[in-house]
Amino acid sequence: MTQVPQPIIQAEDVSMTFRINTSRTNSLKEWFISKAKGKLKYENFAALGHVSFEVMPGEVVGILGRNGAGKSTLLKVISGIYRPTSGKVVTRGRIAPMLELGSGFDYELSGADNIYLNGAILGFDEKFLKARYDEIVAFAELGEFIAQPIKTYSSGMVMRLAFAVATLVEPEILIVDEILSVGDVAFQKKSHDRMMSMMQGGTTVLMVSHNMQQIRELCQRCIWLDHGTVRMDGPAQEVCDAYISYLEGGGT
Amino acid sequence: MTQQTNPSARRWTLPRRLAAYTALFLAVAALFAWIVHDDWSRTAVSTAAPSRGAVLPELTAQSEISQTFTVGADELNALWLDCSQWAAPAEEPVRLALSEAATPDAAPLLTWEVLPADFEPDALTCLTLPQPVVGRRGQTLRLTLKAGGGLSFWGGTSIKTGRFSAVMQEIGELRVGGEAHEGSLVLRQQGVNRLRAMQFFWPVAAALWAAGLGLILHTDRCRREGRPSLILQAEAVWERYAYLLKTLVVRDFRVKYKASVLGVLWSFLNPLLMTCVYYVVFSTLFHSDIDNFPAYLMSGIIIFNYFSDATNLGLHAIVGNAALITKVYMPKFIYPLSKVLSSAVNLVISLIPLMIVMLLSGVVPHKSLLLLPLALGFLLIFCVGMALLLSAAMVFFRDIQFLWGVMLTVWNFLTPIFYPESIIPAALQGLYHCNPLYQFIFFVRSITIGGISPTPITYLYCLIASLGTLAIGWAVFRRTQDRFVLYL
Repeated sequence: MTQVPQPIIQAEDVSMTFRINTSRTNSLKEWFISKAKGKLKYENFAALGHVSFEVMPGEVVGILGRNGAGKSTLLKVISGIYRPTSGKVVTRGRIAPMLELGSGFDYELSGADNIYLNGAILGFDEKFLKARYDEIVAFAELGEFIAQPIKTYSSGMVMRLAFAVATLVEPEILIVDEILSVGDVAFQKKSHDRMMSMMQGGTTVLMVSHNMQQIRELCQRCIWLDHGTVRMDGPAQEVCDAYISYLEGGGT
Repeated sequence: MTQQTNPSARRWTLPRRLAAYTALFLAVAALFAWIVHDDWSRTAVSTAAPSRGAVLPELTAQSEISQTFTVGADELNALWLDCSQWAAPAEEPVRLALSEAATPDAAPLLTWEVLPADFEPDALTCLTLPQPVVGRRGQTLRLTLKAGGGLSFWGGTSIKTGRFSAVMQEIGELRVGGEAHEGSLVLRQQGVNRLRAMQFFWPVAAALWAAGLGLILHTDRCRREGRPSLILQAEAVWERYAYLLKTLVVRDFRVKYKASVLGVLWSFLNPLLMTCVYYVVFSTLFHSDIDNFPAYLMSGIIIFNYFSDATNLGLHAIVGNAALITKVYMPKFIYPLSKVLSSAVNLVISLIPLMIVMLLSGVVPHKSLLLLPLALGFLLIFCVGMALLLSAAMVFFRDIQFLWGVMLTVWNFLTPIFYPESIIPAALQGLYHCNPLYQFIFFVRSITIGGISPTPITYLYCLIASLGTLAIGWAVFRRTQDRFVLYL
């Protein structure tokens, strides 16, 4: 392996255009009728336009922008959920997207089974998960409930388990979309500490948040997205200041 | 992506891998050759008899009966005749003769005698030829019967045909007392056809071995030179997602029988109960036409049920996992594949009651049973192809789910599951052969109930149906998968 550090995320000229089917056909009959009438119209919507940036290993990057600026789309493109219309994204390492916690859970299965299921969905193997199992259960503070189906859990318990699985498995890249308030005050503190220690431990983090204080506290660097393009990319404090004055100025 | 160094790959050096591959290939080929050798060299055939019409005039010293027919087998061993009950049969034996129809004056090929008492009244009686008629397939022969009286035979009208070890026969002119008579004798031929398939077995096997060898060498070169290769990509995906696949299959299986008292026992009971229902409903209709009706029914039901389960679950695999697909990246084909595999677990379990029913109904397991994994493999690949196709189509057109329900019902009736193949009109037989499920069910029935390997043409049908469907399904899935998230 080379000694020169390579960027862990590389986005090169990424554009994402959604083709919105304005006639909203999703039945065969409608599709045939629209096709026959020549009414099958599409409208293009550019969610991202020519976005380029690089993230080095260990960096904690915040992504700022107003609603609809393309933040979530960018995270999904980097996670590999969306394939960009043009340009390319290169990532080196295992990505844990915390876009919506617990989306891989099966509510009929026990907490224990769900740890393995969700872990497998995130791309980990059995041996790794077995080794971390006790740690995950302890962190989620589930105790004996771990053998119960998670449909019997409170929503806070489900969230705790999801957070424990997503963060304890130590991904190389963590993608976070507004999830930092999980559970009660005590667990919020714990999860906050956990995030902090992961960032210090070298995990690369890409996070979206509207909580400016949190961004200033956690991130070294920020990328400000505006209407799908990068408006500013630099040290967190500078970008946050610029963004806030932009918002106070009425967002123009 | 970084190149992963796999310790097990390093231990398996190339010469070792090639040796292991060759040994495995030889073992499998030899096992396969042993299983199919007899069935691919000779195949027992019998023609379907014409259905009964009216009873022909009594066979007397004055009125001999003669019937021409086209020989349907390489070796004709026996003829079956349908004798009708008559007043006390004469003591005098029935004299039978086989001669060439084209040269009526030449000496007959065969003559033999059968005592009238040996004819079973009102049933087909097997008359074994004193020696087989060899090498006259396709030629027209004339069967002549002479007797002192007291016997008569059923005449027949239309000919019923079926593929299950039956071949077509042409029945020609019937003469009674030297004069042409309407209809024909109810005549059935039984014999053996020779197949040349085994002659090509080892050359084809050698070609396949060489192709596999080439693939291994090519993949190895790609690995060393760091070039992209489909096999290497597949290997990487497998290494990373095998555990996920296993977890998803286990999940489906657990959730399926959660909160049911009998649990996994349902996988046993379901096919048994369905067989009972079908048996009660159809046994009076079709029972007499089918050997071992319970096992015949059950094998058809199990296979069709698997197809129906796998495609119905596969259909919803993408749409049903929308929450996951829009949040976490993983190869999307995992979802339909996991559904087809979790239904396969069920299929394997339901084979146990099938084996029990077979044994109870007196089927002796034959070495052909070893071909079952192959037959199920064809079926599985076919279902994966269908699930890929349907799950992709479902994303864009939600009414596929309703359409598919109707399609399944139609498909069920178009497949000989509870009815015999002989009721399929001869004109539609070609069309029936295009139904992949018919081929798979035929394959399974012949290796289980029939105790013989199907002829190579069935293997070819199954291979084309399964790989062709997989190729189409995969092509459609690949082309559309990037757009799934936009429609979910």
